[in-house]
Order: sequence, then structure tokens, then C-alpha cells
Amino acid sequence: MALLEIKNATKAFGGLKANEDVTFDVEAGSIVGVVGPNGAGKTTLFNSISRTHDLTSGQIIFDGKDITKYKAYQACAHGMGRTYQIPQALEDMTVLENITVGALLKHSKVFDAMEKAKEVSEFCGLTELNGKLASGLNVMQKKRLEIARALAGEPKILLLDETMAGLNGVERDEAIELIRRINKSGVTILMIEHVMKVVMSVSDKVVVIVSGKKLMEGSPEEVTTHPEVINAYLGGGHNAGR
Amino acid sequence: MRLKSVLASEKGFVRQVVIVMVILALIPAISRGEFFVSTLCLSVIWAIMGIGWNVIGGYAGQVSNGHAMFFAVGAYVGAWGLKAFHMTPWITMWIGAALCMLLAFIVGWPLLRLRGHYFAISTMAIVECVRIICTNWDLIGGATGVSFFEKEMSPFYTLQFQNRVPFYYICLAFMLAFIIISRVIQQSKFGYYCRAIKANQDSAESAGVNSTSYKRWAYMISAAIVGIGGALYAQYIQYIDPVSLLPLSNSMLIVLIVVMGGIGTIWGPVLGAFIMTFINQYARALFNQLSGLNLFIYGVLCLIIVLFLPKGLISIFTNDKVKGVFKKNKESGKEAE
Amino acid sequence: MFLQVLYEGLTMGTIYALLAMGIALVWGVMNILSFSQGEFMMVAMYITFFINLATGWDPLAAMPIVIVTMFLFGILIYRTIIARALKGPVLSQRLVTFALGMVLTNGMILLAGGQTKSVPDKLISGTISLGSVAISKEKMVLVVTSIVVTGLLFWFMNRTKMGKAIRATSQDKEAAGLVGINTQTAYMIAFGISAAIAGAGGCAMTYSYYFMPNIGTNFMIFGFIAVCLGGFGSIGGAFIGGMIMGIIDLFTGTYLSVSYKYMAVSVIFLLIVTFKPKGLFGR
Repeated sequence: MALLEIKNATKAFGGLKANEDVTFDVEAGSIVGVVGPNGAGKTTLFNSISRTHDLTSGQIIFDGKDITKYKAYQACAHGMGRTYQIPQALEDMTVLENITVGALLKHSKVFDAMEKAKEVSEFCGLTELNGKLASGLNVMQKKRLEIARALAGEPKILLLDETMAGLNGVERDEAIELIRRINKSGVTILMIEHVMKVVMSVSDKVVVIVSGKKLMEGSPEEVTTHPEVINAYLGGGHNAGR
Repeated sequence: MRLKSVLASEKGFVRQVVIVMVILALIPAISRGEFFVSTLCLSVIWAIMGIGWNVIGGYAGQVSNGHAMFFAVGAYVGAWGLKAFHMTPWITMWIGAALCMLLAFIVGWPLLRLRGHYFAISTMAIVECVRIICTNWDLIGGATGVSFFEKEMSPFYTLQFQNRVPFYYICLAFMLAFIIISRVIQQSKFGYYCRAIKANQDSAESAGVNSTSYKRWAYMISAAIVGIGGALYAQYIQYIDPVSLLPLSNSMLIVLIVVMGGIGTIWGPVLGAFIMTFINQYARALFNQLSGLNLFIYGVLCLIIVLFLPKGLISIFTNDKVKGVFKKNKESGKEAE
Repeated sequence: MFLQVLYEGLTMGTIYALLAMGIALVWGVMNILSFSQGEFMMVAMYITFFINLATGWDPLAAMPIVIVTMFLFGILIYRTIIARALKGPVLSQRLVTFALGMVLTNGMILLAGGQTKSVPDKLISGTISLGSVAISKEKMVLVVTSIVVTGLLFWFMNRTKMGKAIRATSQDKEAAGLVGINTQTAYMIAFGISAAIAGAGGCAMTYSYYFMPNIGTNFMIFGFIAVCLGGFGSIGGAFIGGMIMGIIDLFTGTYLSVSYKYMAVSVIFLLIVTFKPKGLFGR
């Protein structure tokens, strides 16, 4: 059974439809990539799934529950972790405290949560930064921190919004390696990525979104050879808000 | 067993509490002058209010400019409890605190959804409403207020003392309790979640924080503590009216005290309250023929502290930079700037 | 009766509008909730008063001087205090303006005493009768001043290079900096203009009102409310918000009860932010 099912998701801002009738499944244990040109509505879709805002119509089923009307914190409590395209670290808190906030979801004693946070921090390669204020981190470190904070809540699924954007080659390889390790530890991953190459190398399945609609889904090979996808990327002129 | 392990992990805090409390307890030994002790009492009461405000304003980052409302509710309940029903403030203060929590719950429902300046302005508007109600409600004293000095009963029943030294110790005990509560909050899941909300509400939500609920609880706890402060103040001053309890400046002074002491810290509100109350009281006594000079000085001091020590006076003690400079000085005088 | 109240309400509204526009400008451009705006108005009243005392000039004649003085005063405050506060946390910025208000009020008490003052022998006085409505000429000065100031402000913000720079800065500081706008200057000028608006308003108010050093604090919260009603940061919205406030103020004061009129304003405001958290005209 699929862990996450998106059914006919439509999101309109005023008259503008940022997502229209998007349907796809995410199998438990898999890595699914969502790709599409800038402004295709990927982040809007993510925000709908993570319950940052409400869908205009459609349904989201997660782990057997209809979470369409959930609030963001409820979705999180139900096992959904997410990161942001522009990292939203808790700037005035240290790295370890940031991760601890995430860990408090499952460990209500601060001491236990902090132990868990230390583990996660090590897993994500952040141990050396534990005592540093989040505001002092660079973008790559902040992105890692967001992943760590989400992981600390022991999610069933992790939603990654453009984790690779702005990273150089070496950093990108490290990030890919981290994503693989997270997936191996049993966490399903749904990721948005603008950089096609990255998604193709890690994903089990790719969903292509263009102008707010699902163009197609399939294995990375199927997607890259599909003429319409190539056309959409090269043309790139279809903008439908974000 | 558990207490032991908690005390062990809180060694630093326990040491601070012991030092500060011993110092504060010994201060009346220096002078038992009436004015001096009164100023001490007032400082502790302001400290309590600062600690209360700090829970919502400092920890959760929701800057209320309307805490005079809870201050007044606590004071009115205490005053009328004694005057009309001969009830001891030892009981009425908890009624007042409960009423404050209820009020915070009701008011917080629409207000806590607002952010930034809007929240601040709305809290001001609520206090304005309360002020007008109190001014026009003759049953509770209207604009003339309530005078409720009780000579017949024991001062330990009424909390109204001729010699204020015992009152000072009572207030100090309350302050100690609230300091400990403040610390517990700061170190708990609740405190972490509040800080997360303060840092970035949306981000906190997606990390599983029910921000509405946590903000509401912070607001209610904050209101209750300030309500107790109001109850103590009422017995201290023995006369209350809307003009002295509910002007905008009272709400702002609570904020000022915390910010000048050190917002979001345990000891900041205490430090701010003592320093600013002493300056204000003594400046007023010293320049009583030059009206306006005391508040002028107070204002200038606030400007200087807020501008040059944005983290408050407490940062003089905790700032790593300052500490670092001192250390460097010791190690090699040349390296220091 | 109704028309009379409407006229008085609009007059009152122009005061709120002048106050609110100054607040809205500072709020919109540098995101500071300025508690000292009412005190700026108070200072302007006293400058007018002192000019009148020294030279016998009518407030109308003194107005250009007051406006320029207040503009320079605003720049001075910005350079010495606000610019520094902007580097700190948002709450500090708000408290700095509150402390500044305290300093100005009490400084004025030291300088001029706490008693009420007024400017004697105004050039324009008396009333015009229009049917059942008696229009006070003194208050007309206030209305005309407010309209002229609002007009000039709109012209400045929409037509001049500096005005456009200020608007760009208020929308996106970083982007404005990237296209070559000196945001520091834009901030400074905006703060100066906000003080100058208070200058015009305070000067005109001496025409029909008594004043004392703590007059500003009474107004403050209603200035804020007017800004919120209009939707924050928008000057046009602040003007309309101010007018609405004036009308609510006078109508509840006349037809319901004077003692509850400010409460009516507050309650209406609270209801609006409860159901429309971004203000009446906010996006």
C-alpha cells in the first residue's frame, strides 16, 4: 500500500490555479522526486501536502489517514517531516537546540530529546556545529540542519524542498549520500528538485509537473526520454505561479 | 532521588538563586528606612510582573503591550476581596490569578493569531477598554478608585504592614517561587517550543509545535503571575484607581523593565526591576520640586540602555565578549582592545 | 444636528489622519511602531506657541517654519537614535520611540511647565452658519491643512524621485539597495517627513485646541488604531482610517455616551482585526 496518496490536488490563489488535479502515490520506503520548471507549482504542492496551507479541492491520504484538513503540526505529529526551499532555521537557537525542538515531538523530556538530537546531529554530520547559533550557519549547513530537525521527529516520510539548490559539486555529492542513508534507515523521501540530474540519480520514481499539472510519472529513464518532458524543460515558458 | 538529579543538573542555577536571595534578604540590614524598604518592596513587585511578562513576551516572543490589564485585575480583586468580604489576600490573589487566566484565555483566542505590531496594538486597545470600564463602573469605585486600608485585622491577614520589612520578605518569597517557575518553563519542552515559536512560527509548526496552544498557555501563565503581582501591589499601596493602574505607560514600563534587564532571561526582569525602580523612586524624591525631571532622567537612561545594550543589563554579566575581554586582559594586557 | 456631528467628526478625523499618516510612513518604511509621533505633534505645538510668544506671529504664518524645524528635528532624531536602533531587535526599536516620547514630554514639562497653554488672538476666527450647521473657522484651518498635507504627501510619494525611492525601500529594502537607492537616506528622509507631518498637524491644532506636554500620549493608541484600520504602511489607508476614527469618535460621543466613545473605537478595532487581521484595506 502507498504511504502517501495525493488525489486530484487543486490549489488556487484567487483565480490563479497553481496546482490542478495532481494525483500520484508515494510507496513506503521509496524515494520519489518531483521535478518541473521554475514556477511549475512544486512548492505549492509541497505546502499543501505538509499542510502549510489548505487545498482548494482534492485529498491527501497519509499512512492510512485522510490528512486533508490537518494543520501543519498535526501532519508533523502524524509522521511527516519537511524542509524549506529557503531554510527556516530557528535563528536565535543553537544547532543542537534546533534539532532538540524536532526531537521533542517523540521525547517529551528535554534531556531525552537532547540525547536523540545529538544522535541525529552526528548522523547528519553536524556534531561540530552543535553549540553554534543557527544564524551563524551558511546555507548548506542550514539545509542540513533542517533535515536533521525533521529527522529528529522520527518521521515516516521526509519532504525535501530543493535541498540541492545552490550547492557545488562536492556538497551535492555529500547531500545525495545523506539522502540515501536516510532512506536506508527506513524513511520514505519525497523531494522537489529543480536540478534534473540529481533527482534522476537517486529517485525510484519521478513525477513531472508543468504549469501546475502532472505531465507524467515514471522511472527516471522513462521520464528523461519522454519528448514532452524535454520540450517542457527546453521551452520552459509555461508559468503558473508558484 | 529525582530531586537530587535535578539539583545536580541545575547546579549553576541553584548557586545563582542562593547568592541573589541571600543578598536580597540581607539588604534590609543595611537600612530599615521607610522609603528605602518601600522602594525594595516596589522593586520586587515589579520584578514579579517582569517575570510574568517575560513568559509570553520573552520566551514566546509575543510582545504584549497590555499587561496592565492583568495587573489591574489582580489589584481590584485583592482590594475588593478585603474591603467588601474581609477576605485575606492570601486567598483572593489566587482568585485574581485565576480570573486573569480566564481573561487571557478569552482575549488570547482572537488576539494571539495576530502577529507583530498588530498584536501589540490590539493588546493596547483591550487595556483601553478595561480602563474605560473601570473608570465608569461605579460599583467597583469608578474614577475615584478604592481605598481599603484595614487597621482592625492582623497585618499578616491583610498583608498591609506599617513597617514594610515583613511585607518585603513575603514579596521576596513570591519572587523566588516565580523565578523557579520561570526556570522550569525555560528548561522544559514548553520553553523550547515557546522559543521555537518566537524564532520562527511557521518553521516551529512544521516541526510539530501547536503554536496556538503553546502561545495561549504562555499568555495565561504570564497573566496569572502578573495578576499576583497586582494583588501584592494593591496591599502595598492600599489605594487603587484606574488612573494609576491602567495607563498605557504601565503596560510599557513592564516591557521596558524586562528589556532593560534582559529579555528572555531568568534574572533580567529582576535586575531591570531593581535598577529602574530605584532610579525612578530616588530621582522623584530628589527632584520633587522639579516636576518632570525624574521621568526625563528615566527616559534618557532607557534610551541609552536599549540602544547600547540591546540584550539588556544582564548581558554585562553573561556576554562572552565582555568575559573574553576580561580574560584576555588577564592573560596578556596587550591583546585586549 | 446630524450634519453638525458629521462635520465635527470629520474635523476630528483630520487630526487622527495626520497622526496616522506619520505613523504609517515610519511603519511602512522601517517597520517601527513609533510611539513618539504624538510627542512630535506636541513639540510642534510648543514651537508654534513659542514663536507666537516671541514674535506675535499667527500659527498660520509660523507654519512653514514649524514644518521645516520639525523636519530637521526628525532628521536629527533619526541620525542620533533611530539609525542605531534599527540595527537592534524590533522590540528595542519600539521601546526607543516610547522612551523618546517620555523624554520629550518630560523635557517639555521642565521647559514650559505642565499647565495647559493656548495661542491667543488668531487671525481667522468665528463661525460660518450654513443652515443648521455652524462651521468653526478655526477648525476649518485644521481641515484645510490636513487636506493640503495629504495632497502634498501623495504628490511627493508618487511623483518625486525621493518619494519613489522611499516607496521602493518600503516594499523591498534589498532590491531597492540593488538598484542603486541609498536606503539609509530614504529612511532618514521618511522619518523627517513623518516629523514634518506632525509639525503641520501640531501647528494647525494650536488654532483650536488647548495643549499641554502630555497631550501626545492620549492620542497615541488612536493613531495606531487608525493605521491598522487602513491596513499597515499604506498612507492612503491611514488617512481613511483616521477619518473613520473621527466619525466613530464623534457619533458615539454624541449619540451614545462621551465616556464610552474611546471604548467604541477600541471595540470596533478589535472586532475588525479579529475578523480581518490585515485591516480594512490591507491585502
